[in-house]
Amino acid sequence: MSRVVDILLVEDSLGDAKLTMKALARSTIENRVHHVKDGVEAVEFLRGCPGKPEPIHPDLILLDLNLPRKDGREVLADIKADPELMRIPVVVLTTSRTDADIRGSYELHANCYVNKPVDLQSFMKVVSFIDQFWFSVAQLPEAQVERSTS
Amino acid sequence: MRLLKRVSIHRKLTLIGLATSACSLMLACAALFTYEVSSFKKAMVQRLTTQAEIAAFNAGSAVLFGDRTAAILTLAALRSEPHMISATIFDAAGSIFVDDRRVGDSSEAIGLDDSGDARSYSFYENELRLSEPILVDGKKVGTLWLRSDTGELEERAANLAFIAGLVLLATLFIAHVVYSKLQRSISKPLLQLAEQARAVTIDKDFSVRTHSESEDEIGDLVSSFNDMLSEIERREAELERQTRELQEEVAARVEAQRELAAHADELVRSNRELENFAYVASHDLQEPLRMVASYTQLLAEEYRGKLGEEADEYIGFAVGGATRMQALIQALLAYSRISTVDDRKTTVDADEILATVIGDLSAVIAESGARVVTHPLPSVVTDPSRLAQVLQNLISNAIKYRRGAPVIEVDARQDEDQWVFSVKDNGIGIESRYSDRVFLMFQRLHTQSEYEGTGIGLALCKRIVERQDGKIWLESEPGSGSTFFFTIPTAALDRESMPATYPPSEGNHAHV
Repeated sequence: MSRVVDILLVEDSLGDAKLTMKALARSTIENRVHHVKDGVEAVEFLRGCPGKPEPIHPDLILLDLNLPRKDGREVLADIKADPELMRIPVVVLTTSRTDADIRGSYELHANCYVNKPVDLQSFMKVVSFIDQFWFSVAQLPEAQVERSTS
Repeated sequence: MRLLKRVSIHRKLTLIGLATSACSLMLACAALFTYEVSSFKKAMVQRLTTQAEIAAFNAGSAVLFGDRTAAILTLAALRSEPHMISATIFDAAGSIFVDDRRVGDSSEAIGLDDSGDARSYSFYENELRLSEPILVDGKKVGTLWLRSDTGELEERAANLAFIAGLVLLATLFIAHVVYSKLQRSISKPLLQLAEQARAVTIDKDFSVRTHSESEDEIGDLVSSFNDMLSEIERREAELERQTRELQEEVAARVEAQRELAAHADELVRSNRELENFAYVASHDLQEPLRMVASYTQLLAEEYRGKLGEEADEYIGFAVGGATRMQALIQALLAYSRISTVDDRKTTVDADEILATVIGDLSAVIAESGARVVTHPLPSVVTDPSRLAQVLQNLISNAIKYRRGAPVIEVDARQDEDQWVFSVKDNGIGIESRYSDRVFLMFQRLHTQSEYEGTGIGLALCKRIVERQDGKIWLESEPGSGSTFFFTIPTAALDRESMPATYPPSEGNHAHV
């Protein structure tokens, strides 16, 4: 568990972003959280753009659905349609509980759909569960881990 | 006769008049002719008889004495008559005594019909023949045989016929003129009437009227026809008026119905909008509230004891308020979701639902030391998650408002076409004056410090039950417990999906 994992957090609410990062900071798994505030930034982060030297492929993406400029659903569709990015697990982390959003996300091949709990303790717990599951329980492709550690 | 059918009444009347005149005139002429001919014949006979009598008298002695010369003289006197054809005297024996014949008819003396002593005459072909007995002292000595032609009669008859023909023609001409004039008083109104009837049937013009000055039957007919038209016109107008009224009424009703439908649509739409609004509003309210709640909690967690006792207390209030508001919004969301999310009705086993609910509440049940007594429940047609919500709310309430160790009894019985579910507790009970109020939103009978709650639970139950055509009510004895009842119609989805016999009688239990 010496490696550092890269997590892309796509979240427009600074408060939520801070809470998420706080929860991840308490994690036993060493991580780097890259925070972007909208869909456009998220895609730029993943595919790169003239301003940035090299795009980073994170180990996990935490994606909010309701985002300014480019919607979370569109970002999800883009990621899952891109052969370079489709292997990266995407966790949809949102306040929406509607059937339409849940079903829609899975139809766009989201890897899982998680509600943001309203209570702080629960929220912390859920973020820690996500962290634990994807980096301790689930197996991720080797290449991805290798590249992120290099 | 068939031809007559097509002839106009005008012609017919004239023809009838002319025919009548001609017939009567011809009859009169015939009568006159007959009379004239017969009286002329009589005169002829009379004249010939007179001549015969004179001649017979004159010839009497000549025949008696055989004096032919004297007899010839007598006959010669007869010869002066222009129409006399022949005169012959026969002796008593019947042979010709003297004969005076005209040229050309020498052999025609034969054929005397000697009728004895009596005088006799006859019309034969164009002749009048007469035999006159010649008497001397009452004794027949011979017979005078006269033949006179009837040319005079024929001439007269021809004259008569000619005059009658002239009179007939003149009369017919005059009659034609007179009838043409006279029949107009009959045919004119009739023709006008016919024209009027045609106008009525073809042009539907009921306003035309025929005027007739005559006061006879035709006048009556015309005025009756006019009356009839007036009546029809009146009825037509009435009918038209009624039709128009009906049409207006129909139009008004259609309009009203349309408005009603529009209002209903509007109502449905605004209701849906309102429900959507409640849902979206409470959903969006949750976001900032989550921030408030999370960060006050974070504050409480990370800065407890570092900011002073008072700050800790303030933070505590803020956390409590935010938490309660979160619960309220959650309840409001649940409430509005009842109508924003359609029910998924299916046949469900209420026993299974109850078991799940009791499982979900196991922590609370264990903590409160409650005992839940369950009786066999039926299969019902309803949305399983809604039934679970109702049971969970009622059982949680029963535990929350407890008085000592809670004993909760869940049962169901069939009442005509519905199932009546009951949740009975031995809790604090509810005064009867509050038995309606408890089902209203945000209506609470206790303070937060006594019993925590949002005041939405029972409103939610009521809404769920009523949306599925059921009823919810309570019976309670303050201090000894309450029983909540709610109904689910048995005919909600499909009667066949209902268990045929429920509750099963003891002997019918399936041995599985």
